[in-house]
Amino acid sequence: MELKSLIDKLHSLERKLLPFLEKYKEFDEIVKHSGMQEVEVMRALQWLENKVIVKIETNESKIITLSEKAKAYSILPERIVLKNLNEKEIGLEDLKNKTKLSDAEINISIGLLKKRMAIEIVKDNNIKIKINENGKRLIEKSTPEEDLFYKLLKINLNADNLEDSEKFAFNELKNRGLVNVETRKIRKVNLTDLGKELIKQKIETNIIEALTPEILKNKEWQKKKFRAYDIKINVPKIYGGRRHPLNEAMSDIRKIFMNMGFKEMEGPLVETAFWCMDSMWIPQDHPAREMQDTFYLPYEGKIPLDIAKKVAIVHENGGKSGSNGYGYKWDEKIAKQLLLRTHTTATTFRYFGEKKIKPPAKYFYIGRIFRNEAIDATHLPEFHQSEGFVMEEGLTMRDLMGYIKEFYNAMGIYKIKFKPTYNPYTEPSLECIGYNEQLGKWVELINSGIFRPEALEPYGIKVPVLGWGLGVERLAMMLHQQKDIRNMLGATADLNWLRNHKVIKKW
Amino acid sequence: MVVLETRHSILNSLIGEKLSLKELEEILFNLGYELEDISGDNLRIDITAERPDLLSTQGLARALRAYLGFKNIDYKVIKSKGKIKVENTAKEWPFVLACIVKGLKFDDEKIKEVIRIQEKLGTTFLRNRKKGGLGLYPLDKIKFPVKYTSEEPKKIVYRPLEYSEKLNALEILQKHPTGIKYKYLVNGWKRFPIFIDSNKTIMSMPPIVNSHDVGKIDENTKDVFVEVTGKDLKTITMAFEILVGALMDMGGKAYSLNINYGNKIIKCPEFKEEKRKLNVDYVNKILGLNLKTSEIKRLLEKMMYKIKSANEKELKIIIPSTRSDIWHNIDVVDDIMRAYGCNNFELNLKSVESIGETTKSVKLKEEISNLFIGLGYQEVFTLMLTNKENQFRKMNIEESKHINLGKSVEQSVNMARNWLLPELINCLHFNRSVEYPHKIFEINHVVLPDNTRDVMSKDVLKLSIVNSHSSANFTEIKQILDYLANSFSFKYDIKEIEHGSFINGRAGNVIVDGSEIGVIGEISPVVLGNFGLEAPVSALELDLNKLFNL
Repeated sequence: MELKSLIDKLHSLERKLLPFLEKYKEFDEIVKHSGMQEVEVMRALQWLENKVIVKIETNESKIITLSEKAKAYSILPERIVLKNLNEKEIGLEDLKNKTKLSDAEINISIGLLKKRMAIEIVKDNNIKIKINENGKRLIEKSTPEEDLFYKLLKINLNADNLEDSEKFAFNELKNRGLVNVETRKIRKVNLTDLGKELIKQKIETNIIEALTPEILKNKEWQKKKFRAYDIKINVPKIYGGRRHPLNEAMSDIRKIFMNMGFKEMEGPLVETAFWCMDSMWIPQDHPAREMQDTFYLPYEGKIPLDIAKKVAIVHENGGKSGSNGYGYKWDEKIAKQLLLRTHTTATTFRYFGEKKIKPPAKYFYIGRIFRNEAIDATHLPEFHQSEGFVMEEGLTMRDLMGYIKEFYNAMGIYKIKFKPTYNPYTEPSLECIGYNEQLGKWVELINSGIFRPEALEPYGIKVPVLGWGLGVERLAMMLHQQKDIRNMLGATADLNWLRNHKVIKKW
Repeated sequence: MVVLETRHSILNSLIGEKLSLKELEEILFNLGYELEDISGDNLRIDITAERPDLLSTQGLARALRAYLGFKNIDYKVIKSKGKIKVENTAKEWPFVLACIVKGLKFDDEKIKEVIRIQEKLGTTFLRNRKKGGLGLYPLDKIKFPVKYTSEEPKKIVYRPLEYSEKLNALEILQKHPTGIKYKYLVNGWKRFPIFIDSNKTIMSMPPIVNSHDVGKIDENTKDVFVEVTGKDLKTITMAFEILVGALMDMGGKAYSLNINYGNKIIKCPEFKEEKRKLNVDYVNKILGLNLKTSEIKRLLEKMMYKIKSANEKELKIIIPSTRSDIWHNIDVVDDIMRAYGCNNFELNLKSVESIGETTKSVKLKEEISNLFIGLGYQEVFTLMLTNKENQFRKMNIEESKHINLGKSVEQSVNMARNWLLPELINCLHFNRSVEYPHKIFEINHVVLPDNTRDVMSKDVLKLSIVNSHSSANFTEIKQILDYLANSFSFKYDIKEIEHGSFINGRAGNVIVDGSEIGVIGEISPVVLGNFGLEAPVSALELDLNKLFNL
């Protein structure tokens, strides 16, 4: 069974190659005899080795090959010279014309023939040469250099495998620059026991590799078998386009709010201090307004004077809200300062003041806010906040907690607890801590409260308004277990991480 | 959050009950505070800023005693005839309060505690002394009556705290560490406030620094003169009484002083308590509970309130004098909730009818993003705050209209972006070693100046899309524009332009209905060089406000 499955999965290249492996061991030989391309053999062998059908041994060998110069010869020059000699003396010029050899080749050849005592050199005015008896005998048979040369014309030789007689000839040829020696890796392919077993089996070579439109058209697939794939094999990784994790988190928050029947708001990024702070009864000397926390722009904006008048009164003495007020003189100039908004509640109060929202109403907002901070692993000078409010007669603290529980449940957080806290524009205020099952810990995500009477007074809102908000980056970083915000946001974000970020279990 | 540094053992001895750390942690949590850090006996407790009265171990112990049902001793002040004469004060710093506390047995620990309280109140509640400053002096070094007055800076000469020699006021602001730190407070003042005793000894120069000779307390100090000065009488009264209260809780006896402003005399400290009427229905309406008067009374007492009288409908309550955060009855209701325990509420979900709805911008952003995701583009999220270097210089263009920021803590930030493309190209810069091709896009706001609006600017939704790989070119980016135009059924035209960020002859304005809504082209090698990029980039940026009338 195992052998059968192994055979089914053999690639056509492997199938084609296998029969040659019994007979041939050396890679070059295999290539030569199989008639396959070198890369094909290489790939097929690699696959076979992975399946333990063959074992490939690699040894380094010194390989003798003919040099470019030698490859141009079909016979060596000394033989040409020898053939053109006879008992009559011949001058060098004539010999050269007859043989069409160069001066160098003629000289080498004469030197060689002389060494073999095959010629006589007669010195007249010019040098003249003639063959002798020894030379005549030499015409009948080849020299060891020639033997080696002819051998090398056919195949490359391993320097370690030379016969003793060949060694001298090799040195001669080497000195004449007719052979090269290079170190080469010699791959030897041995069939393993499994391999030996395998080639005894019948291996169909005519199978379908890729199913092509042509095969479909000519119905070839009805007659042939498909090669079985190793479907457990690892494949190259791909990636596609993804939404940014922060936008994914925002979409998820948006869905929760919309499912709960909330309408989305929008408001400006640059705000007046009036809408960002004064409008909701944040005192004009509040530390959050200080330079080091807020980006102030070096010019003023405009404020709605009718609303500002009412806001001034609640700041100064509480007006009709039942409050003492702060007991200071409200300064219009401070309210006109322009800044990059520090929270999205600025927009909530624009909706109270400009859109004159009336109960019953449920609104939410997801927006960018700014803090004048230096950039590090957990801080950026800008981030996103999401907040929602519910406005209706008869709402109580119990409803605030109920809405927050509903919101947390939609995020997949079921265990929650509350802690009283302080916000300048809500009272009572609660921090809401939820137990994240995935992380196995309590996380503080939501801040909430009922808007203060002083904050609502200028807009004539007499019914309770419940509000809560959360930081979107904090949530996204927690969900993706990303420790450095710079890897996720800004130009510094890691594209590799963005492409491969995990889909969050909902939620 | 403000941190109170204290000791478990001291806290327990003041409470009179051995609370374990776990018990303490739970009570603090229910009250809205957090045991942040524990090392041995030393505790760090997070206190929210509206409760300066809890910034001393003594103040916190009083609150915990009440919560646990123990009675606290009222602050009692012994009348004395001592006087402070207020005369010719600096107009920026007109108010003064002072008293004497006797019988303190200072040890090193207590001195540190007093300095800690003084510091915490100074930096938080008094807003880094901007609203007022507190001072303590060993009583035996001062000769009454004391005068609070003012003098020209160069005529004020004394030896400031922990300094080796006498300096005049101007020198103090230049040389003394506290003087240097707080000199901005007196910037532009013609006359500086001083305390001076009847020996004509300068005791201090508020709100800067005390005299080393007569204004330094040590282990031998038993009786002290305590003062506060400032510009906001209400705030300094609160700070003063919190400090004097803590000294009394340390075993001191307070003796009043008469502050003579000429036209009126204030007896000090007053520990004046505000009275309020609290409606039972109001409490229940906010909390959604059904509390009876007696329960409300019990809960209020846990929070240090005193009840003057009570009937079924209404309670007359007395607010502790050291509470600065009770502006409205809603603040009293908050305390009732804390005493009741916000985890003891039964949750409710009142149905409020309304239909979920999002905005046009959001819908549009989702639709366009879906198209690009389908094309295999990765969405990125760059920052709104950036710098001129990236937006203009590296992009090889002149500065265009934008919103400048004032002071920024982060050095790499000095403006709000007015186009997205430079940020995306900068993103390519940071991802040079990540596998190519880079195909990224972003749909987000930029801010442009607009004098017609109340905020002098408008937020514009833009789309930017960038290709970068070895064969990125104009065709590839124009295909994107075609695809977008076809999907959203708009027709566009391209007008050839010269633009420093793009290659000449390969850049254009995108025109829709006769108006320019964006740019398209191949990024200039100059820009690529500026951002250290080695692969070509083609890019598109569109103004979605203009294109879709947002």
